[in-house]
Amino acid sequence: MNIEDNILSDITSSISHISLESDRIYDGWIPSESTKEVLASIIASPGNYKVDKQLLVTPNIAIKEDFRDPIRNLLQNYLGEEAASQRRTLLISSVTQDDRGLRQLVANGCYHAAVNLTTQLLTVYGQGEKRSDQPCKHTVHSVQLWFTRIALLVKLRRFSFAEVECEPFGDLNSPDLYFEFYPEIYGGKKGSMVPFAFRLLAAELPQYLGKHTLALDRLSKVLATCNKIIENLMNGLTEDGSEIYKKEKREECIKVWKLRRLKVLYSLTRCAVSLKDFRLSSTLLQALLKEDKESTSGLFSALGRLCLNLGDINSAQEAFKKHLEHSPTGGNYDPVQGLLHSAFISCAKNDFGNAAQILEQAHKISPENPLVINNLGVCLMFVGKIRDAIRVVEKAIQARPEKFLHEALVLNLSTMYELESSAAQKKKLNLLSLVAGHKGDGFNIAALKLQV
Amino acid sequence: FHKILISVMRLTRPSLFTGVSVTCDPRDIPGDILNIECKNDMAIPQPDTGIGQVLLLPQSFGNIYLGETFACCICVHNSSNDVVYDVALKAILQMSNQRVPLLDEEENDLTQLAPDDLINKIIQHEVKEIGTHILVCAVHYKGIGGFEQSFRKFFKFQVLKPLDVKTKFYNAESEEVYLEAGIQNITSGPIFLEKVNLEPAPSYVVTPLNSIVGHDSSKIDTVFGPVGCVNPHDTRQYLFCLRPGPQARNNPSSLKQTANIGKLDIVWRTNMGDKGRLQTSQLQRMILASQYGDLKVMVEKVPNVVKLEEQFDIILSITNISEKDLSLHLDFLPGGFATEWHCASSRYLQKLPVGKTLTVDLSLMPLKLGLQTIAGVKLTDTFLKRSYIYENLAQVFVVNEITEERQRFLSQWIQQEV
Repeated sequence: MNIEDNILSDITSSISHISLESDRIYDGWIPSESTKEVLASIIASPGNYKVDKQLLVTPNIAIKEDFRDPIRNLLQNYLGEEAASQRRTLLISSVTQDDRGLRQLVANGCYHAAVNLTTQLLTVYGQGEKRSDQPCKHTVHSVQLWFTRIALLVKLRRFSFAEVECEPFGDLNSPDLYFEFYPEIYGGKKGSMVPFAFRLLAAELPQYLGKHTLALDRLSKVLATCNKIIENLMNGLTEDGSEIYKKEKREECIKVWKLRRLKVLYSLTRCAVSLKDFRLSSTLLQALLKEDKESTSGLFSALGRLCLNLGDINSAQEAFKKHLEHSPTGGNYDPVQGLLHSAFISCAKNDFGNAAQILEQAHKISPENPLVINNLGVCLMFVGKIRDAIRVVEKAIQARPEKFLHEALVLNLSTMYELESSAAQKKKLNLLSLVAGHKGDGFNIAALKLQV
Repeated sequence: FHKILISVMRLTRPSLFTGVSVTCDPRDIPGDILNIECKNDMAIPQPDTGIGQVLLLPQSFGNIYLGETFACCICVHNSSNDVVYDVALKAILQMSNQRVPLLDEEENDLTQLAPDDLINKIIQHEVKEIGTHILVCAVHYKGIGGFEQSFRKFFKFQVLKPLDVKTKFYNAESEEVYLEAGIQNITSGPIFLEKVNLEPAPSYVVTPLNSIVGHDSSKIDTVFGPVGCVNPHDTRQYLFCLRPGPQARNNPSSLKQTANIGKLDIVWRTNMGDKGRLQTSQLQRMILASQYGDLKVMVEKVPNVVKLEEQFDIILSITNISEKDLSLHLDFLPGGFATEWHCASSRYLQKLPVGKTLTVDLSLMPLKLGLQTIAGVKLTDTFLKRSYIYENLAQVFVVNEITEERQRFLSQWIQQEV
C-alpha cells in the first residue's frame, strides 16, 4: 500500500464521516495559542500560508537496521544452527504488509517483527530514515503508525529508541497534527489527529528513563487539558471552548473524556509508584477511590501493597480489611485474593513458612493461578525448600507453557536454577527451548539470565 | 575438582514486580490486543495502579544497614556421580574483632549426599556492627575412596550506617526537660519509622509528645501525618518530655549527678517489612551550673489566672542539693513591670541544711492585663558570695474579671497537663 492509497482512504473516510459525530467525539483537543493562530491563518487563506518549519513535526526512524529475533540469536549462540533453524515465529514476510498484518504480529507477541513492519509502512509515507530535512505530510494513519511503533518499543523496554523517535513530536500540539492544517484533504474537519493513547504514552515515556518528574509534569498538563475540555463540554461548548455545541452527542462526549481523565489519573499513579513517592502515590490512590467507584476493592488492595512497599504493616492490614469489606460476597467471592494478601503480610513479618502454607491453600483452590504459583515458589525459597520451589514452578511451566512462560516466572526459575546447582546452564537452556517453542520475538529474554 | 559445590544468595526481601503497561483505544491500530494482554498479564495489576502483586527473588546483593537482619540461602550440592559422605557445613560471620557462628550445632550434623542431592540452609543474623563483614562458608566431606576434602568460600560485604540522630535539650522553667530528637534517614531509599521510644534513665519519667490525642485521651494519629514515610536525607523530629521520677524526688541530688537522660530505641522498616532496630547510647544533657548547681528552686504554688490589681500569693520551694549547709539571701530581680512584689524585697532566709527544702511565701500585685511573666529572684550564698539567678519563675494570666469558664480555658495555656 502506498502513500496515495492511504491519503485516498483518509479522504473517503473523512468525507463519509464529516456528517457523523462518532469520530468527532474522539478527535477533540485544545490547541496551544501559537497553533491556533497558524490554523486560523490557514483557514483564512488556504494554500497561500507559509508556515514556519520550526513549528512542524518531522519525525524519522532512528533505528538503523531491522530487529532480528533475539530468541533465535540465543538459540544460535547456545544450541547451534540446527536448533536455531527450527525456531518458528512470525516475520514480516508471514503477514500482509498493512494494519491487519501488524495486528497479527502483535497478537502473536512478535513485537520486533511488528516494529520492522512499521519501519516499512512509515518509509512509504516518506518518514523513514534520513528524511529530516523534507517536510512531512501527516495523516491519521501515519500518526497511528508512529504511535503503534513507539508503543511497541516501550513494551519491548527499548526505551532509548522510543524516546529518540518520540522526541520530534514535541508536545503533540503542532499545527500539522490537526485536521485544519490539510484543508485540501480533510475539508473543514476540525480536531487533532493524535490518538489520546499517544498523548498518554508520550507523557509517560520519560519515567522509563528515570525522568519521573518530567513525566509527572507532562501528565499533569494532559490532566489539566482534560479538565478544561470537560468543563467546556459541560458549559455547552466544544472541547476547545470556541463554539457552542448543542448536540445530543455531547453526553457521550463527556463520558469519553471522563474515562480519559481517569486514565490519566492512573498514569500519574503508576509514575508516582515507580518513583517511590509514597505520599504522592497515596494521595492519588485516595483520589482514585473517589473517582473510580467500580474499582474500590481493587484500589484498597493496591493501597495495602503500597503500604507494604514502604514497610507500614499495620496500614497494609487495614487496607486489606477494607478490600474485603468492598469485595463481592457469597457465591461471587473469590478467596484467592484474600489469601494472597495474608501471604504478603506474613512475608512482611518475616514468617515465610506461614506465607507458603497460605499460598498452598490458595494453590488447592485455584491450581492454575500464575500469581499463586509464582509467589508460592518465592516463599518456599525463603524457607530453605529450593527443590520444592523449583518443582512447583517447573510443573506449571512444563504443563502449560503458553500460560506460564511469563517473564517473572522465568526470571524466578532461572534464579532458582543458578542457586541450586552447577546444572543451572543446562536447565536454563531447556527453558530457552521451551520459550522458543511457544513465545514470539517480544519475550523478554533477560529473564533467562543468559549472557547475550 | 570438587564434587561438592556451594552457592550462596543473599535473601533481601522479595520485591513486588510490575510489568510495562501500554494500552490504547480499540479504534487505534493495535485494537484491543494490547489492552487484553494487559488484563491477562499477572504482572499488571487490575486496576492498573502500577503496584504489582508478583514477588520477585532478589537479583542483586543490595545494601545492608546496621540494625537490619542479614539473611541468606546456602546450597551445598553434590554435582558428581558418586555418593558423598560426612558432609559438614559451617557458616561464620567475621567482623573486625569477632567471629559469629551462623548455623546451630545440630545443623552441623554430618550428612550423606547422593548424586544431585543438596543441603539447603537459611541463615539469619542481626547485624550489630558497621563496616566490613565476611561470610565464610566451609564444607568438609569424604569421597567414596575415603579421602577427605574441604574448601571455603568467602563473601565480603559492607554494613552501612542507616540513621543519623541529633539531639537537643531544652530546660523548662519547672523541672521538666524537653528532648528534641532529629532522626535522619541516610539510607538509599525511603523508610517507615515504626517506633521511636525514649527509654529514660532511672531518675526520669518520659512522656512522648508525638501523637494527636482525642478528647478522651485516645490516640488518633501521629503528628507526622497518615503516610509515615521518611525519604532519604529527610529528618523527622520527635519530642519527649522528661520529668524527675519518684526516685529523684526522694533524692534530689541524684539528678544533679547524672547527665544521662535515657536511650532512644528506634525501629524502622523498609520494602516488604524488612526490619531494622537500633538503640542509641545514653543521651546526655549538659548540666548548667545555674540549673542544677547547688540549689533547686521550684514554684510550688501559683494561680493561673489573677485579677488586675488584686494581690496574689506564690510559694517557692528552695532545696539544698549541694554538699554543705547554705545561708541564703533572697532578692527580687528588677524589671518586672507587669507584676510587682508586694512584700519585703530583700531578706535573709533561715539556714538551709544539706538535702533540706524550705518554702517561702511571696506576694505579688498584677498591674497589666494579659499573659505575664513573674519577674525573678536572686539567691545569694552569703558565705561564698555566689549568686543564683532564677529569672522566669512562672506565668500568670491577668484579667479584668475572673469567671469559671475563663479560668478553665486560660489554665490550659499556662499549665499544660502533661
